[in-house]
Amino acid sequence: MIPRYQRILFWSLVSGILLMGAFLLRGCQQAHKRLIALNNATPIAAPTGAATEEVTLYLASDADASITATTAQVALPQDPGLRARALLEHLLAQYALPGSAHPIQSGPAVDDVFLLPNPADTGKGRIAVVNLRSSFVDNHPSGVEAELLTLNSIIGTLHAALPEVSEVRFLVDGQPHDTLAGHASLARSYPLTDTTARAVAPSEAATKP
Amino acid sequence: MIQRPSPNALAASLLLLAAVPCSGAQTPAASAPPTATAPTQAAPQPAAPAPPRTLPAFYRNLILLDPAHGGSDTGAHLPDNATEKGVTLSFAQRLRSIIAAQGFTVVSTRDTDPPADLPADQRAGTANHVRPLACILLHATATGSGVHIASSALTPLDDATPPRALPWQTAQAASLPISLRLANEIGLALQNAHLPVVLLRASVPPIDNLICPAVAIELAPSSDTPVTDATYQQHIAEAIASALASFRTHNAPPPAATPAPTPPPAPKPIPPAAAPAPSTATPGAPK
Repeated sequence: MIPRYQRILFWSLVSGILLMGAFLLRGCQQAHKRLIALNNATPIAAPTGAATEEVTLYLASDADASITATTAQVALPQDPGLRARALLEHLLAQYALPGSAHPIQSGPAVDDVFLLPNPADTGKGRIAVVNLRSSFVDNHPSGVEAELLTLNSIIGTLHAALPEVSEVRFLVDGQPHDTLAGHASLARSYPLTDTTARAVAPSEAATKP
Repeated sequence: MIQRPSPNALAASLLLLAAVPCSGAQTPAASAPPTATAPTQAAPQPAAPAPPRTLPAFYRNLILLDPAHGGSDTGAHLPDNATEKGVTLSFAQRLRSIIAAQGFTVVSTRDTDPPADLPADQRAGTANHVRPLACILLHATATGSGVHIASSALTPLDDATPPRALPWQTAQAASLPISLRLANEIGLALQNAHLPVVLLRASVPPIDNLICPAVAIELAPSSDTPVTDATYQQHIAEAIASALASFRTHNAPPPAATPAPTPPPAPKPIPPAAAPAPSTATPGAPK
């Protein structure tokens, strides 16, 4: 006959082992996901050897909800799609730098940029489809202003670099997505325009019919 | 159990809603000229059916609040382990009582945390069905500062006359000028309350699908005051309520205050003796 206290001790130890095993398994899964999210397996055509050129980046600031155009020297590939992707990666990498005015977590953000003929436009103009990574979307700060600034920053930068493109649409991991991080819609297409913006103050005159 | 209408059904209902005010109040029977009846036909006629009442474009004392997120959709994660869905709900309840004190009736898309997600189309369907004076979408964030007021990023309609049917995806375009006035009205009230304000244009679901004047109001921290602070929320809610009252005064004055249209002069009745005799008007009649 096994004493009662030994049985209690035995089952307590078994429970502890199982709990520790489950905890270990969950930790491994989370670490695996984190590594996969940060692993940029898709190579960009290396612009080594290409001369740097001046590009216009539309940088956002959370403090005053502004978008400011600044110039930078970046080496870019010649293919338009790869060029747009490298440009957006460079733009979004600025937000991961310490002291950024619009902080976004570092890591790969753009999977592909496709430039397609615009079916709604009979004459000129193409449409850009930006395929974002889910790791970027999942880690993006959630909020109307923060998400709008990111989208306007991308739109303005693409407008400056690709004047022949008239419209942009967004996908996430190749699939349509409702919002960027719960607020700004990704279900619609956006016209490519100059998105330089300063905070607008309310005015008395604008309240009258 | 909440029945979710399909997007197609919602689109169809919106098309109907948009078509009603444009079709006019008069039915063909009601607009037909009255037919002359002979004195001998003065027998009691069956009562003609009353023309259907036209639904108003909006109810001037009705406000719709939409606390964003809910269910498994928690929204943004805020400091102190708060979630956006909880902050928007508590702020909506606070705002509701203050708005009601201004003489408004308040309808909310959710009063509790629902067990399932509330789709954007369902929120828009509720808002479009009740025809409020204004639709206020409530959000909260941990980034930025002050209060962010967003109107739809759609392009306003060029044509002054509203179309007979509104596409679901761009229904807000017809109301956008009024929505911009509402955003400015709320922005001014917040500014007068010494709160930092940022006006934005953003497509925040379901704002593009609404036919009412609509703005999204996002609460952000203000100089180390978190959005969960009750005093801060109260301050914002009071400013919004006063702005809504001002918006109602400017854009939807009470019926007694509106000048009544001048009625056309009533035709003078012609006495039977003065009326021309049929014989004189009929050529060839025997004299």
